[in-house]
Amino acid sequence: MALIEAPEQAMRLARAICSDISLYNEEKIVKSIQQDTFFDALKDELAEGRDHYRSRVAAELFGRTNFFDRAIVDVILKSKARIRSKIW
Amino acid sequence: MKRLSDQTLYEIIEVSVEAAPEEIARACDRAAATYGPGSLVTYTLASAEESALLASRIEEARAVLLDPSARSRYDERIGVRPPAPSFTPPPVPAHTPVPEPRHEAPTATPTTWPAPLAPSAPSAEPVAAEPLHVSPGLPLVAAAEGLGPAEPPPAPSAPVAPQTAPRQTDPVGAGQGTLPGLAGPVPIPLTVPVAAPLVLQGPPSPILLEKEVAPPPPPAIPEGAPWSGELLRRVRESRGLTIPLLAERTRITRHHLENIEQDRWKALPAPVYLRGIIMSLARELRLDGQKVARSYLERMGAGSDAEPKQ
Repeated sequence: MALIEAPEQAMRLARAICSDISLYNEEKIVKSIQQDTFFDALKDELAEGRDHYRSRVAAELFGRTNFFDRAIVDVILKSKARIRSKIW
Repeated sequence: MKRLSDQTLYEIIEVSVEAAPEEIARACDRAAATYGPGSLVTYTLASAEESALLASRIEEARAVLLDPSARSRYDERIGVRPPAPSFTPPPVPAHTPVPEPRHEAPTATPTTWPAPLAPSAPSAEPVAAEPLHVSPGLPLVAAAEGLGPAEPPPAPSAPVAPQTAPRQTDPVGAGQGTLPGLAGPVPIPLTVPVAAPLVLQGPPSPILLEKEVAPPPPPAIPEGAPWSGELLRRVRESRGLTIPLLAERTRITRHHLENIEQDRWKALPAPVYLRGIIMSLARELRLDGQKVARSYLERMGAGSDAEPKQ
């Protein structure tokens, strides 16, 4: 499969991956935001997602952008802004 | 996960049922911005029809939940708060049976048994007046007005008192019931229209077979044993579920389910997607989704070079 070179397409992929992570780990995400352990609790899922993202995106594009990190914030965290936590 | 059409308005906009109007207004704005047409969030996940449905449900949430009287009616409908009682039911004798879960054998209760005056038991779950979509083939004996005759129910294995009729046969409590304190149902001609139309669809579900044909016993699962496709298949069969039924319930394609059970790892999606799929599958099989997904993916990671079956 050809690697993604278009930034918009890479961004879309990153958001789709994060959306999937969010969808299937709702309970874990809520709890980890409340306890400020988000990145520890979701370590495996995020690493898996990032690996997949890296495998699909051209190395140069992956190296100069942070679309996956932005997608974590925009898709997973921002949608949980209503949760009470000291991290906000 | 619930389908979009099955989610309550509160779930759609992700607020609690006790949310204040200001919070609801903010949530509606946020949901409309996040999931609106053309949104990158749903661009690759939802079809145009689903996006349109989501947008309309968000607007419905805004209209209903921000109107106090409409919200109150809606809350009653979905069972968030109990409807205001129009009468005080007399105390129910201690021996009054409580409605059984949906898998209870269906009754041959005539459809001319209304209970417009009293619920069958005070402990019954709150009723919903929304149109009720019943899973295909679930035991239905209530032929509601205008629906025509219901399919004859399979013969129950033992006589069942009408009070034990499954809740789904009459979710609004208007089709049948008993007067507390009486030994049996009192036949009264049905004069009250049934509020919730019952949607009958599809052939009898294999779920009925759970009572009639004993499924294989659940496999012994040693603590810490790796979860393989074979083990998942055995658990599925022990629950009396077929692959098509499981596919329908979980929205996982039949193709993926077969590949998971056959351990065709190369044909499966990337682990980041597969994890969610397996968690969803495990939950439907009443297993610990996290544990099963982790175990299955570890096993897959270790053995993906030498795929066992094709």
